[in-house]
Amino acid sequence: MATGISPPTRALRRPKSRGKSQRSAYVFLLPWIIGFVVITAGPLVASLFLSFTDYNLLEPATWIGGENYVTMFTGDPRFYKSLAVTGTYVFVSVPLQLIGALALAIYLDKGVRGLDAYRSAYYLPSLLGGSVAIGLLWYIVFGYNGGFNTLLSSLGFENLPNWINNPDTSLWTLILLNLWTFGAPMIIFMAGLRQVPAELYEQAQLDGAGRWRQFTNVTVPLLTPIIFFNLILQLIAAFQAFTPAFVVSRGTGGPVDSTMFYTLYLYLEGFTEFNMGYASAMGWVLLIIIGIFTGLNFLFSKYWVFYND
Amino acid sequence: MGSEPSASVIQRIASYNVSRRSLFALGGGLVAAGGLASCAVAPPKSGATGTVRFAWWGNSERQRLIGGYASAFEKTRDGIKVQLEPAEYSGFTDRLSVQAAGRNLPDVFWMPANTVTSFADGGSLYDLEKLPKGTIDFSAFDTDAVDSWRLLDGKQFAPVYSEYSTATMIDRTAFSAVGITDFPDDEAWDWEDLGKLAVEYATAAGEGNWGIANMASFYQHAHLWIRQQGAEAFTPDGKIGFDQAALGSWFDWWQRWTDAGGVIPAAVTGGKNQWTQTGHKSGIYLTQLNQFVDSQAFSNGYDGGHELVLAKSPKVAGSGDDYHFKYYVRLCIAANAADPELAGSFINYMLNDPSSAETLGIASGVPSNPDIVSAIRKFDDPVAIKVLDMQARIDEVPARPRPEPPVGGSGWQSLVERAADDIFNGGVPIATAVQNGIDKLQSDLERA
Repeated sequence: MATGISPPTRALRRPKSRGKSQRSAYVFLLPWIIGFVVITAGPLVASLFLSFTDYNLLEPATWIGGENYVTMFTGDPRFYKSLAVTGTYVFVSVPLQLIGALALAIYLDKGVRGLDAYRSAYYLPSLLGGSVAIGLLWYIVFGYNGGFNTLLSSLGFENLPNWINNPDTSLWTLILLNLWTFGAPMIIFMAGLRQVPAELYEQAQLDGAGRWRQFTNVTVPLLTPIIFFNLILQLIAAFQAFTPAFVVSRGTGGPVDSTMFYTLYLYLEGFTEFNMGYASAMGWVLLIIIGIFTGLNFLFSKYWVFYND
Repeated sequence: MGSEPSASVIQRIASYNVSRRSLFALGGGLVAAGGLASCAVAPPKSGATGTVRFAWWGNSERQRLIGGYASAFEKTRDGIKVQLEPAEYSGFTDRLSVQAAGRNLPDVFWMPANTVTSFADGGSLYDLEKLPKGTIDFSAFDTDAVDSWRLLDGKQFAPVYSEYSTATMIDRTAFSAVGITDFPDDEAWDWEDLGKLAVEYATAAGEGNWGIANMASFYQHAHLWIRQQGAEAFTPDGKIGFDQAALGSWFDWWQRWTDAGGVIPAAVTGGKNQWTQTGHKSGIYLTQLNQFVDSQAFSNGYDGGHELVLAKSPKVAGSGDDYHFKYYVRLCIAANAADPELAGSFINYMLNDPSSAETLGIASGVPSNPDIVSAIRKFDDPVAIKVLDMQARIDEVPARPRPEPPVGGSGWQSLVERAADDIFNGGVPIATAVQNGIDKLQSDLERA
């Protein structure tokens, strides 16, 4: 005997206004959807297609299959040079920048007088650091007769190089430029520090933990989501760094390719050598590289990132 | 290319309890904000009858002068507008390439020698002989000259607006100050004489001074060197016209006279070797005649004013006399120009309007129109007269033709610049650096 319980049909029926509401939602979303398709998804698909073509911007693209990728990995030493330069930049400047930002955030979190002024002052280079003006300033400061050499000369140093034009030192000036823009991660760290419950420090103190122990056992674990977030953000930004190298090397990546960032080489191939198919392929390789490093970070985050939820 | 998150977005994190969800939401918001921030409003597309979009390159002063002259075209008839799109030289061709790819080239634009063939071959340029007869009046020009401007299958894509040769510039005030007043005869001098003069000046002027900046990367002068050896950058059929030895000897010369103390070491100038960038650390400069006005204006403001004089370029000992050449600033109409006839009228105005003698003079080199040149002379400006006299002296000697770089040959300039960088900053052996450059150029030509 079937004793079925009839389902509550009223509850499953969609309210009449819901379809209308969805339509309204899509209408409001339309500008974003159009922008996404036209400005992001469209060019993304187009560049994937172009990466399999010989395209010089002036004539129609010709399909050449995977030749651009083969050339890149087997016949272009400059590609590997640009990877090495970018890799050095990323893996040296990002950790140093995060360490500096965290140290300053902890110092400022102690309730320094005039905190707002300090916070603004330290954040300012983050807004200006990637700009053309600062790139030019860097060129002047680290030039042969620049401010840096003037300072060193006054301290008694002699036979000083042109730091920007010396292949052994030019990249390090750009790394220094990136370190200078620690303001954004610093402010994020400061926000994170304020979320650490004060009672945990009190409890740690009662247990006899000193300042260093409190830092390593309380502050750092609770700050790991913020460290992780900053790491991902700065890693992606560093892989895409372009303006400082373009300005400081006057668009050449020199001297002797020592500042040939990946994105700069991509730009030169696309817009100076009119080799847009190859540049598109380089763009996709960069996307995959960034994806791999981001993915690895997420993969390993479960071992060191502590979430409150 | 990377963008930093805005302060307001970052501040908002302070109000969150950090959870995995909120962290991702924040990341997504930042990416979206960055994406929107990078959107730029596209310039309005020309198409309205009566508007000419005009693009050219130059420093701020040249942009002001040419822009003013171009805008005056609006007064020649009712309902015409000129939309100015100037740029610095370094980014000019890059921008044109992108515009060509987007079928959004300006109606009229200047075109440098290195890329004109590529643009013509790519179908980006309008064949001016399709215009109604008389739209562009070439009657003031020498017929052979006009014919020599033709490209590819003999089509008139890009008439020459102005032209210039290379020469040597000497800071007479600086030389006089150190007691050097006698200069070699510039009709007969060779590069050896120039090197000795550079060392003589450097010695006389003392520490911190040199004869000449390291200009090994200046490809037009390297081109002159190659021609003096009977070679050429490119052959008429589009092949590389020089070998490793011909270009390598150019770098040998710079290395030799750097070692002798006559040339500013590359480390001192940091790649900034233009006259206006080296701060009068030297007394000699290899110039292009279209730069002389700017150089003199710069030196007028230095230490009470320095007088610059021009001499012919030195030659390789034993070379013939037909090595001089002229580079061209060409005028082009986009293949998809909104109104080619109006664009043609604008080119005619640029080439022939007599007012340019007064308003522009030799701001971008020597005008190709002989009538304009004669009119400039009447103003008796001493700087302009020096340039015109030097160009006239160079033009007196018949020169063999200079084929334009072929399709794929725009990397010729990069070859010279990169080889100079590798040699003088990186210590790469000259032969290796030059051969690497030649191989790269050959690869570009084959791909094209």
